[in-house]
Amino acid sequence: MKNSTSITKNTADTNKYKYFVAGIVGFILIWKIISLNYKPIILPSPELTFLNIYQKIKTISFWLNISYSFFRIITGYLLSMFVGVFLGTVMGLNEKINSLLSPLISILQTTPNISWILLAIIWFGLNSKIVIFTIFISILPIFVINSSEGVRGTDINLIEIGEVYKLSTLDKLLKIYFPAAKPYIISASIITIERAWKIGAMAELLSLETGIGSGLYWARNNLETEGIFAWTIVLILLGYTSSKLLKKILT
Amino acid sequence: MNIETIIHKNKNIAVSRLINGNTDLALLPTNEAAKLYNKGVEIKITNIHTWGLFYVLTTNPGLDSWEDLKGKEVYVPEKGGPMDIIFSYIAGKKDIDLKKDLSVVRAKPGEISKLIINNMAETAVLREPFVSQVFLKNEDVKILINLQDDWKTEMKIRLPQASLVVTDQFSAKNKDLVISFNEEYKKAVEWVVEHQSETAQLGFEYMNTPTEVTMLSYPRLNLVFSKAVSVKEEIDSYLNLLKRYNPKTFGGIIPDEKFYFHY
Repeated sequence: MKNSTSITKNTADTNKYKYFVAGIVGFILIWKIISLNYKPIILPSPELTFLNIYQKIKTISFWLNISYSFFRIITGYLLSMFVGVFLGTVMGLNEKINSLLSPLISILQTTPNISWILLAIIWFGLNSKIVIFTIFISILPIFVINSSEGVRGTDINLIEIGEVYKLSTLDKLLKIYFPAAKPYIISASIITIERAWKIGAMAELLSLETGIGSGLYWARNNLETEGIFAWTIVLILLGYTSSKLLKKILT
Repeated sequence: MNIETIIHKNKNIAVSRLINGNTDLALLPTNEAAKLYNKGVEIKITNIHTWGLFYVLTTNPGLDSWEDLKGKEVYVPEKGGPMDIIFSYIAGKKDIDLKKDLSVVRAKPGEISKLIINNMAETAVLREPFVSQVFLKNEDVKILINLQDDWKTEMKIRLPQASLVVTDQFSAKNKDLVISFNEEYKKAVEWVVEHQSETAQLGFEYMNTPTEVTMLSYPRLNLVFSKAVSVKEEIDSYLNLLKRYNPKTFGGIIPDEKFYFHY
């Protein structure tokens, strides 16, 4: 009995995998067919795009640009996670601070990323801080809201037990509140990493001469549409892999 | 003649309209025109009307020549673009190595203008209209180097920076119209050169450029009408120089005869 269920599960998995691959192949096929009707400057073919990726991978500047972006994105991301979880926890524990800060968080949440980029250019001059700051501030509300909600959702019985046993504040945080908030923080971490790559590339495109965003800028400037496609695919792969990887590590 | 004119904030929109066939004529930097031609967009170049808008600006009163730039921080926009290439080339002729002798900072021209206006940067390579915007907002700024003048001295030719292009689709059917348009264009360029305040007024009406900016920029505009086909040598030398530094600036191949509109 146990055996047969695991077999059906396996076939279901291979089937899922098959459909996934078929989806990608189908997409590339449709892309190829449509591209036959257009000049490469309007819609480059898949093979031209993959050739462009291949040529890029062989250059040092490709890896340099990726490292620049990676450094900026990870810095902004981690900064946002630490500050966001801290703020969110404080807000979750204290109703007054929560009321005090929640309008600010709502404002942050609705401010367009593009405004942050323009402001960052004025505030920080032209360096990596623009990208780090824009990512930091754009994803901060997600960390704050998720962790405060997690903390607030902590089982009231557990909190009372903590009181009864006279746990220290630190112990209460680590043993009662944190385990309750953990799933919320994890989901915030996974959602935001992909967003961080996208926002980072946009900030680079508009301000800097290095990084994936600047690669996109030059591809457009040189009318290399296949270059725009190539960088976009690289960006998708990086965003996808990092969120999958995080999911694997955190859950 | 009835013409619908659309003024774009940047060249990308004009380029995209040409690619999609949504426009018949467009004003473009010469290297952009060659780039489009090399990418298979069927266009021809009809005239050159702007001969260089590239300058080195500084707010440091102690700077007077190329020699004084040594050891200084210089903002140079658009790495690998035409202005960067011309600056690097002439600097090389003046025995200045960009890597060793200067501390070059890369940024976009709009950002550099802001930095100079706010006295957060001292010396920069910029083109019009950024130059005049800076002049209007920072009294301490001066032109340190006129790059097209130095270019003329070094290369013995002028710098064919901006051009008027026409799509093949349009010019094949309307050859006479394109010719008379260019004749009118020539007259318009001459009118603009002679009528400064009227031009400034038009610039304000159609492009929202403050009249002061236009008036200030007059001595630096280098407006002269030439048929593109009669200045082919100058265009070729210009593109050949770009090729030595970065072939991507114009798509890599020096355009053949078919790139030129004959009239």
